[in-house]
Amino acid sequence: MHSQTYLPLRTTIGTSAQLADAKIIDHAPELAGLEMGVTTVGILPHHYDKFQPVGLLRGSTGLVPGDGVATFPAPGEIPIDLQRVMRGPFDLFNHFLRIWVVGPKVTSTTHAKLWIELELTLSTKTECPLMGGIVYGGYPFLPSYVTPYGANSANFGLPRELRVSWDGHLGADFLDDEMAVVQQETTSHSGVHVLATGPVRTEKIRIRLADFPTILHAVGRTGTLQSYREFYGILIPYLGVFTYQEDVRFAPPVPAGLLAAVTIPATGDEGYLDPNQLSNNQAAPVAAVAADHVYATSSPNEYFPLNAASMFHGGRTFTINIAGRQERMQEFFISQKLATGDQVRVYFAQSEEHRRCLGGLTLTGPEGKLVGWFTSEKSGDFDLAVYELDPVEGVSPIAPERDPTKDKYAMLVYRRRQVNFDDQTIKCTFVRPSTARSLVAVFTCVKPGRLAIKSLQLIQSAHVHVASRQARRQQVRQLHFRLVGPNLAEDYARLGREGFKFSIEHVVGGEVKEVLFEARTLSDLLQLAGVRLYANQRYLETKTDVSQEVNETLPDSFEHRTTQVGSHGWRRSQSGAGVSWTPVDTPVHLQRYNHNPGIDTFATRSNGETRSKTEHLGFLADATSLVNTLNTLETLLQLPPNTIVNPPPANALTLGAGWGAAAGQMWEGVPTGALRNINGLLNLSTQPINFPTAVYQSLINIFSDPVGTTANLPALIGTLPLSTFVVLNGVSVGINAGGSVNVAGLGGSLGGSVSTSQLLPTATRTSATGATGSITYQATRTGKSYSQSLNDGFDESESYTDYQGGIHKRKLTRELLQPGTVRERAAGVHIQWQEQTMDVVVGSVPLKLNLPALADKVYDQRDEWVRVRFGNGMRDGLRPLPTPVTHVPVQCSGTTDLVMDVWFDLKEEVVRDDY
Amino acid sequence: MIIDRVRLAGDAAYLSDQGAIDLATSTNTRGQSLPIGEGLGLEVAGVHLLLQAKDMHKLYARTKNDGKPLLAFDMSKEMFPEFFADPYAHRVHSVAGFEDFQRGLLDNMRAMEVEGKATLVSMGWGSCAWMSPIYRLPMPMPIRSVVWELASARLAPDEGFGYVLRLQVWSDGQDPATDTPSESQIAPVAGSGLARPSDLRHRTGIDLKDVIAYRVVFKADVQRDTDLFETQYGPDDGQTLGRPLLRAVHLLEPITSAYAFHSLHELEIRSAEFSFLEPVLPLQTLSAFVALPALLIHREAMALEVRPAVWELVEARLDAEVRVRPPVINHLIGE
Repeated sequence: MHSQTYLPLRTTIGTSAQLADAKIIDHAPELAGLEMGVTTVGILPHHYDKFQPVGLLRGSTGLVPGDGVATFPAPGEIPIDLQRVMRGPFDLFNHFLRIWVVGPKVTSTTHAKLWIELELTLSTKTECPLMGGIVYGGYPFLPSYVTPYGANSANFGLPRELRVSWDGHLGADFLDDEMAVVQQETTSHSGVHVLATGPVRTEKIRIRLADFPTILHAVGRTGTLQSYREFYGILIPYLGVFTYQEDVRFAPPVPAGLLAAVTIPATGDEGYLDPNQLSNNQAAPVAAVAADHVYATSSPNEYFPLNAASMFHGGRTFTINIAGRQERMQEFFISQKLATGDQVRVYFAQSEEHRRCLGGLTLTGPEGKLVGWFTSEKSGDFDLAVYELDPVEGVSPIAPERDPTKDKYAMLVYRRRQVNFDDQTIKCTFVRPSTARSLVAVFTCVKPGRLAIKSLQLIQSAHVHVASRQARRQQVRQLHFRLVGPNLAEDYARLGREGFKFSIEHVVGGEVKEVLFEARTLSDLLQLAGVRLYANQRYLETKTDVSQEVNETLPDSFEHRTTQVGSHGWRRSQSGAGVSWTPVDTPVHLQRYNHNPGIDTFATRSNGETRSKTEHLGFLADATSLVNTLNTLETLLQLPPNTIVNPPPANALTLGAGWGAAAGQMWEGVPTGALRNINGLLNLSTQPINFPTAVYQSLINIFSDPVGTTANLPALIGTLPLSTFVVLNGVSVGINAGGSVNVAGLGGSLGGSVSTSQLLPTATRTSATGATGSITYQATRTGKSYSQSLNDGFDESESYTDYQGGIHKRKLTRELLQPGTVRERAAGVHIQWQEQTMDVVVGSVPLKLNLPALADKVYDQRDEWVRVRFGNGMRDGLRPLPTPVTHVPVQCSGTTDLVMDVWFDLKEEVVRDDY
Repeated sequence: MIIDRVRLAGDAAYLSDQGAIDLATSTNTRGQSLPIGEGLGLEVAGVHLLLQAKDMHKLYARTKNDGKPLLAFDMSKEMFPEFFADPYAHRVHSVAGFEDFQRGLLDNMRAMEVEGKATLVSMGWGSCAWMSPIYRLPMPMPIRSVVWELASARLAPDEGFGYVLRLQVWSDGQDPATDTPSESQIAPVAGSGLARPSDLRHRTGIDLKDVIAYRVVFKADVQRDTDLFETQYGPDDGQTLGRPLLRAVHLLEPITSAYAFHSLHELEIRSAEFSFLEPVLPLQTLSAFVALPALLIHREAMALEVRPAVWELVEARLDAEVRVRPPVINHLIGE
């Protein structure tokens, strides 16, 4: 036995994922050069016409498809079922693909060698999508027959093997990570297929479509026999990727699709093929023919199939030319002509990702006159029997040799005698709910005529059941449930606002043997061991707060802040007699300040010491050089030093007592060494002419070496503007040089005179160089002074405070809920379910129930169920759930604010009693 | 419909030999449970024995007997579909599971989990094969029967696939590393073609002796796929799957049943109740209850073989409940 989880209410189909790219990346060598393609749904041409046969025979006349045959019935090419199973926004363009391959002739190769591989890139505009799987469907209206090994020959255009693989985001480098799912089906149904992968985070998936079905594309006549030709091909009108999102489905219609509809015994004179007119070779693969009546017109020679798949998907709209008049007719299923005892077996299957519990089905017949319009005959009467099918491994549900009326792997769930379906809807409630994936409706003709059905709709049970199956022993080990709703924890005396309830029952022989658990209130639910409630906390939220506060700052509080202030304004001061102001009330805490001191006597004393140093900067660039030059004369004249220029002695500007440079003293921070000595003021007078230094140097040279420079002096005088001034100002410069020659050597004396006669006004330039200083001591005393002034002003200031930190120790006393306070009950937000605030209850109930396989050799009893009954219903999925509200309008149409998911842990074993 | 369970009673409760319930004096000294029809079941808890002999004390020691059991229970259970044997008298060597499959040589096949069981699945289309590793046994042993399990039911169409199963064995004295094994064709049972899904899946009467090692060879030719939904692990190898085929091969080794009693001492050990009527020698009448739980259904039986000329009286009464399957009403609703 192997473990399984049965999820009769669960769906994981979220929204359709947008595709960024899709292409065929590889294919079988046998398909080289043949026609294949993938396009977005909605793009023309749709290629349906290539899959409709030509040459269908009526007598010796060959027919071609009529107007409307090569179409897909639903607007936008997407069946209604697909729109129903998608739980979120549904977008057609760039979300769904159409795929087709017109492959080789059937005679040239084998079906199993054919494959193509597609690569789909999901759009990552918003985020990397969390893929939940793919949805796809075949073309329901392909002509087909049933093969001896239980396959629908055309398989509605679907490959019999489909593999979805993906690049794992995290696990790409692991060798044993989960990377693909494979589905093989001997025969597929015509409805929406869901291949669920579970949550897979990926942006690129590859889909391999393999093992192609055979497509009937031409019928003709060879001699006296019919003949037909087929090719291998696939036609998938829509394929899309859906995102993973868990949800609950709870709605009466259950999507389904046709597996096959066949006539027993096989007749085909009004169908696609007549097996009685085929050669042995061509009849070999035809074990049963489609029950469809193919309506034919003679001018033009066209055919219009009335396909059984239209019961599940709605029919095509045909434009039929009758005697020059065009009639628009809606397709519905009409069988070929049936005699008493003939059967039409309509095999069909549920098409959602998990098997649902079915309570029954509805059958709707067409308008009776339309049957006559198409066939010139009336509808027959039929005994109807519906069987659930539970085939063993390797056996197709439509295996032609398995007669459901005798097969021990088929169980009768509904029977009704002598029904004519024209103009009515028959509601067929099963004798017990069925969880079978495949079922068959057997219509046995009791009054000759046609079987005509417009719609067959599976109906979900209002409850959930697990019961015995034909081919599988089951151990029901545990039941799990999960309730989700915004108001689940609102009131412990209820489940949700609308009074949801449920019970889990063990039913034996139609009698409730034991109520395993029943919950009508949240408190009931929480009594069950293992139940956990994840509730958003309810509390009273204050909408209007009225309170009184006393705030006391405690010692040791501090505040550290940096403030930047800018201001501008004006001040006006008045003083003197008559200036007065109106006293103001002094605040209590400022009373130590006297705001109006009045007349008083006082004295003002002050003292001070002022030190100053003045540095004089002469204009001579190098006064020192000039002094030195003059002092050279002293040397030459043999005068004592500092005779000509005696610089004043240096003095120091010393620090006053108490004005030291130590920390906190007046000269703190002032480097004392930088104070220059005060060396007095040196006044220099010089000619107004700015002689170059070279002049003075020449003079010095003359003085120091009269002989060597004699020749140069005139030149000096002559070449310089000096000569001009010498003349003008009567300068005479005389130099006499005489020498007494000693034996020992040259000796000499030098004398010089400079005299002027002031013929011109004298101009001199004076430059003072040096530093002077002074110390002033000052003391003042004011005997008596009185001043009274009125300040009037205006300030505008702006400040910015940067808080560095602080502690405010405060004692706050607040008296709450003062009159006027308004409070309302509210829910927290910490529990979320799919981005909505929800309360969640999860729980498990151990069951340990053995359900025998009814095809087994021995067991005690066959009528045993586990049933979960939902009182007052629930919503069809989480998405429509309301967000938490404080007021919900009164509704009487069932529980609207919660969903309950139920699933079972099972162990299953297929009986080996298959011989 | 519910049918009550009842206790088995009357003559039907006794293992009988052509109607006689005293097996010591019956024609074949072998008693058997009554034939069980389809839809019936006997839930056996054990067997009450009433035994009489002239001096049972002499029967206590095994060494005092001639090697044949005094009493031997023999079951006929459907151990595998359509294969009836005594489960207490066979040891089953099963070659199955991922470990066995993957340690063998795979040609165009892959081991996958299908319906919760490790299964050899063909790849693509056409022929495929698997050869198991060589299994060495700790001692020489006989192999009497081989049973195999396939994923497809016997109702699956024969057009889907065909196969061949062979058993290669090395006998005592041979070296599996160097010697060539002898090969037995297990399936098809007859002929040189391919076995089909509808064929029986066991082979009896092989009678291989002193087997010290064996190897299983499975080959198949796949024409049609079947229904399958599986998750694949590891990198995508880009191949098309074929169909699930082999799930297990069981080799049945005959062993001595624990319910063959060669002495009264052995019977006493296995009995839940065991008492003599006489408090003194000679011990002549014994009542015992042997716990032997079994569910016997259609075509299954329990038998007791009695050693002739030992007993004065042997009666074996089943402690069992009768279960009756409710009638199949699938096709009669409303009639």
